[in-house]
Amino acid sequence: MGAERSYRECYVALLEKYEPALRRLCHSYCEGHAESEDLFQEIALALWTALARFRGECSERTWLYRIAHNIALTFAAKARRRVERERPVRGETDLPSGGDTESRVAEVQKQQMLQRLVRELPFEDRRLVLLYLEGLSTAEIEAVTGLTRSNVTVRLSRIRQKLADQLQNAKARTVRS
Amino acid sequence: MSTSLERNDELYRLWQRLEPPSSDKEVRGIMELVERRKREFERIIYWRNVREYAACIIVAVTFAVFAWNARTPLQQIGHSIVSLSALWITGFLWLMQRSRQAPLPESSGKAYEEALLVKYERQILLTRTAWAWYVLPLTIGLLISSLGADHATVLGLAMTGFMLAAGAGIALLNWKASAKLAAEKRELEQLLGRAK
Repeated sequence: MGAERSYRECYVALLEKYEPALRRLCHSYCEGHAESEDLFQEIALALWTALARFRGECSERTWLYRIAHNIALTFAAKARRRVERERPVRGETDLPSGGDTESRVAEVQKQQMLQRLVRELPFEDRRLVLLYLEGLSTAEIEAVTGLTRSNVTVRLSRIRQKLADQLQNAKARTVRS
Repeated sequence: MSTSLERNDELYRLWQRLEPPSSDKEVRGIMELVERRKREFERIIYWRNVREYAACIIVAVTFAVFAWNARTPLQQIGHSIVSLSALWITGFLWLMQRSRQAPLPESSGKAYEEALLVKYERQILLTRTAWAWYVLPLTIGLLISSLGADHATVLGLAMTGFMLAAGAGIALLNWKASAKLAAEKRELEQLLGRAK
């Protein structure tokens, strides 16, 4: 009974700690809110099962991101024709209003643009850039993906450059219009 | 070559300031949902196994009794084949389940991708060949026992017809499942940039 409670507490603490990052990740792999929620539940389920096997061979963060991205891959392969248009995800369409400054509105627009650009990337590139954007080190990205460190660095550099250019172009187009 | 990552770019700053999408559920609610789903999944698997083993025992015992009481040697052989086929199918499925190595999600990305592709290949092979290891032995047994009957009754013919139709149905369902799995595997390969 005590062990079961401890397992649950451990799980809740883990989920609370990483929930924002996991939700951003799900949203980067899915088009709509319901699909994103489904993926989040799949990841939560996988974490629940895998927690019993966690022996600390790698860091908690590496372990968690491995599970999240691997489940996202399985989910994406199964859900290829699933299109969901129930409701927009909050934070993507809700622009700040009222007392918010213009610069904050501009930043939110850029964030939305970035999210869209990330979602349009091929799976492997998306995985790499998401790990980078969530703040994982090269060694951690290497451990999550199984790619070599130099491969991670070279590919990330190319993807970041591409995203930065696309973001710049999109910004320029917005200003012109 | 430097392998460190500088994080002073605009992309990183924008992402870090990004508010996560909201959700209606709290973490404890998610945990309860996850526990419920896991219990439901385990219950489904348990009852599926019970059904499979029960069906195997019923078919194996019934046809063993038929074989014991058969009036002709051909009928005896046919019934024995059906009885042994039921044991073979259940044993084969049990062995396949035992030797299956499900990809662990905590593996590294590359290892998980490889394991996932192997899993798909294995499932596709099993479903695609179900007609041979599942349907064929039962069908052969039933046909032999029908041929060995000393007089064909309407009920006997109807039973044979029904079993053959059921076998064809099972083969068709497996073939459809195989096509679905193959489509998922193709999608996975496309996602990973490995599509041929």
